[in-house]
This record gives sequence, structure tokens and C-alpha cells, in this order.
Amino acid sequence: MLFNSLVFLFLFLPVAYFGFWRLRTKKQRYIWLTTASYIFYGTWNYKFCALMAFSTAVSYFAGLGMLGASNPRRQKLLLIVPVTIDLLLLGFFKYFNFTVSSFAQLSAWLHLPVHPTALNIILPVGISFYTFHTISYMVDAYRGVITPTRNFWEFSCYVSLFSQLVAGPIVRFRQVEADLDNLDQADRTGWLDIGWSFFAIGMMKKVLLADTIAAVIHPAWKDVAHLSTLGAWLSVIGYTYQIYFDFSGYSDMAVGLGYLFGIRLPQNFNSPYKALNISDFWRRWHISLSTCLRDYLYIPLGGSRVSRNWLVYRNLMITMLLGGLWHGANWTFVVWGGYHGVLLCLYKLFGRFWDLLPVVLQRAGTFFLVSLGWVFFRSDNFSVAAGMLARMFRFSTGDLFPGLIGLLVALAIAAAIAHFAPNTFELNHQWNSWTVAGLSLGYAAALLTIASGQQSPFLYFQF
Amino acid sequence: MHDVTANSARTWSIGRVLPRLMFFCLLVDLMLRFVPLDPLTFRAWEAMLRRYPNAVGPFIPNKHYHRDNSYGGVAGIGNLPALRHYHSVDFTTDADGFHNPPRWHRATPSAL
Repeated sequence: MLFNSLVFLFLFLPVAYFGFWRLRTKKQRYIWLTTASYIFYGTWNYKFCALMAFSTAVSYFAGLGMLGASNPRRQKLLLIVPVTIDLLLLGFFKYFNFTVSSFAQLSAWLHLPVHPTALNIILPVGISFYTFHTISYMVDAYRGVITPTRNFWEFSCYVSLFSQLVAGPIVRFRQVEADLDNLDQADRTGWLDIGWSFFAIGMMKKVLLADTIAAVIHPAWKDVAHLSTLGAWLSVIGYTYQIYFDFSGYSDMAVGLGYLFGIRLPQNFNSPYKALNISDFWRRWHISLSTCLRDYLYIPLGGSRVSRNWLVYRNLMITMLLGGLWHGANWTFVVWGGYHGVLLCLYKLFGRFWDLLPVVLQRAGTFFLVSLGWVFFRSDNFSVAAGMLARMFRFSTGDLFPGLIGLLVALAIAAAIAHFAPNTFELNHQWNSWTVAGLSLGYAAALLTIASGQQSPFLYFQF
Repeated sequence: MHDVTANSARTWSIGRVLPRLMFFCLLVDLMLRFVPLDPLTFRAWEAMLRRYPNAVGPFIPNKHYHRDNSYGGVAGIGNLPALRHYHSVDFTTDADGFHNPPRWHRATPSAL
């Protein structure tokens, strides 16, 4: 079930919302939200609900065990075992076939061909996200950052909350603990305006901007060989804005839904295309993931407080390569992560020179480098990526795609918003009547687009 | 995280307008499902559209549609009532929603 589908908007959301606010106690609301979230998740494939329930139960009981464990060795065991189970589940469903095919390719390359059998595995939607939820919970409990909850329904509600279940933001328990603890005190009207405002803006970003751009550039990405240089650049720039408006639109909708149910979710995007350098970009893009990678991978590796300089670069590269791999079981994602790792290392080495450039050049340069990286992220394989890069940097006259005028208009609006407008967290969401009318018109246009059958999944659902 | 507690007491607050707009859209959507398309169309296939406008299909499957006053596209597009040549049309779709005689899909094709 997609947020931008009629069944979600006209059936699931009203039932979940009114049911939630009719209930009074914390326990009732936890159970209601958990049940609603499992129904939401089960619409993709009900069998995967069992997987999420298993992961939830393992983490919950590990947390309970940590509450009673005073022995450090036992505490460590209660961290390692459930984290290993979670990682094995993620590894099996997401990376098993990738590992098998990579092994087969490597053996063929070494002239020692073996043919391991790939399994017919369906990747459970959102597994990367809820695995991060449970792992962050256990690590934080082990570090003493949070006190594990004794309430199973509260924990289950945290892991499965439908607003952020399938594509983030990756929420840490401590970020929502206070709101979950006070769920029975939540005021239905208190955050009504801000919730709907976030939701409507997110919906318009996704349906009116991201999907409009996608409709034009998607065919172009399918047939890279016939693109002109201009067409190639427009396809890449188009994707740069598409992925931002798609994912930040989803995040805004998730935050808005959170508010509607009395739970504040963290910011995931802080105008990333206004970044002055690549390090700044990663403080603004998919913030919930980059902070998780920083806290649970980069810093435990030693971070930048290491005895030798080269270890900092090693830590950066490992973090970004694994961050790339987290996005999907494909070498193109690894290369994308590696590309950003190299850029971060270069910035660490030569950043003082970069920072001397005029601000406009810093912004434009960062945007250009990030856009180049999206070529690997968007491409299904390296031949597509190489073809696109060749088309971009070797002048050729080829086809321009249909819908060019519409694309240019959408890109102009997208660029104006991404580079110059405040982001949704910078707005105060206290709108006057005229702005409400404008937002309602935009929202109605999005609803009409959805009703006409033009629904497309969010890009980050596949991760 | 935002910590804004907005006052949604105003009639024109977004928290009041958007849910009502959604309810209105739901009602319109439900009602339109019962409204015949005839008054809005002048070609038979337009009334048989399932989702996207195209003359090739697929249309609503397993339907028989009869219309006595169909007329051509040019007169329709140009809004030239005097040039309309009214004629009777029978439009039948198969199980896949394509414009075929009713039992077409059960017949053995002579060529593919």
C-alpha cells in the first residue's frame, strides 16, 4: 500500500486515524497502531509480517535481558546474538543472490567456473529500515543511551509504525520514546495543522514534481544509447531532482503522518542541494541514515580520532562503501558509495582550498559532483552508467525525448524549490487562508493525478 | 524536530480544509462511478474507456455498447454540428478488453 494510493488515502488512513483517537489508553493505542501497521505492511506480502514480528521479538527480549544483566559478558552476548540474527536475515533476503552471482562472476573471471544455485528470494519491503531500527535499539540499550522498554506493544509499535516502516526516516528509539510514553496524553488537534501541512507538501513533491520528471526521463534512461549530449544531461539532472523530491516527499509525508498520530519523527532532509561541500551534503541528505552510519559504524571503527591519518580515510571508505551497499544488492551502489567516500577523503585532504572558492561555486560544484554520482545510483548496471557518462561528456547529436517542454518547466520549479526555498522543517506551517487555498489546490491536483491511475512507488521502497 | 503546536481552531486552517477536501473527493469519485459517460463522449470507444484515453484499448472487458448517434472525430473536435454524420455503432469487447466480437477469444485463430 502506497501513501499515494486511493486505498491508503480513502480507506486505511481514515480508519486508522479515527480508530486511534477513539481509544484512550496507551496500551490500546500501541496495539491499534501495531495492528494497523501490520495490515499496512501485509498488503505487500502478508508472509513477511512474520519476519518482522520475529525480528521485533528477538530485539525486545534481548532488551529485556539487558535490563536484568549486570555481567558485561552477558550484556555483550545479548547485543551480539540479536544483532547477528538481524544481520543474517538482512543478508539472506537482500544479499544472498547478489553474493552468489558475484562469486560466479569472479570464478568465471579466474577461469575456474563454478555455478552456485541462486534462490528465488523476494526482498521484503522495508527490511533495511526496520533492521536498522532494531539494531540501533539494541546498540543504544547496550551503550546505556536508552533504557529498554518493558512494554512489548510499545516496542512493537516503534518498530512497525507504518508512517516510517518501509522507507524511513530511520528513527531511533530515543527520538520517539517520549512521544510513545505519552501517547495517551497526545492531543488530536494540537498537531493537526502541522501534520496535514507536512503531508500535503510531501504529496505534492512526490506526485506533482518527482513523478512528472520521472515520466519524461524514465524512457530516456531505458535507451541511453540514442541520447544526445543535451538529452543525457537533462536525464541526469532530472534524476537528481526526481530522487530528492521523491524521497524527501516521502519523508515529509511520514513526518506529517507521525504528527497526526501524536508522534514526532526526525528531519531526514535539510535542503541537501544547498550544500557547500560534500561533507555538508552528507549532513543534509538522508540525515537519519548518515547519522546511523556515523554512530554505529564510522565512530566504532575509530572515526577521525585515530593514531594514524590514513586510518581516517580507511574508516570513511568502509563507511561509505557499506552505506552504498545498504541501498541495494548491486555493485553500482557500492561504486556510488565508493565515489562519495573518495569525494569525502579528497575534501578532508584539500577542503581548505575548496572553502576558499566563492559560495556560489562551492554550491554549484557540490551539486555537479552529487549529480554525477547519481549516474551510478540510477543505472541498473555498469554498461548503462558508462553509456550515460559517455553521452554526457562526448558531444553527440541524438534524440531529444518527448515531453521536453514539460520537463524543463518541472526542472525549473524543482530547481527553484531545491536551491532557494526553505525546506519543510524551516517553515512554521501557520498558513493564512490564501496559502491554505493554494495548498489545497495543489493537493487536489495530486489527488486527481492519483485518481487517474498514475501512481508510482517511492524510489526508496526498493531498499 | 518541530515543536510547533498549531491552532487548528480556525475554519480555514489546513488541518480542517484538507480532510474535508479528501472527503469531498471521495464522494465525487464514488458518485462518478455511477454516472454514464454518454453525455461526455461522441465516439463509442470513448464511453468504453477504462483508464487512459486511447483508441486501441484495452477498454472495459466483456461489454456490449450500442449507440445510435455516434459521429466522426473531425466534426466533434471542430465543434461543427452541421457536419456531423450520425450513425449507429455496436462496440463489443472481449475478456481482455479489446474491440472484438463476443466469442472471438474462444475461436481458434487462423493466423498469428
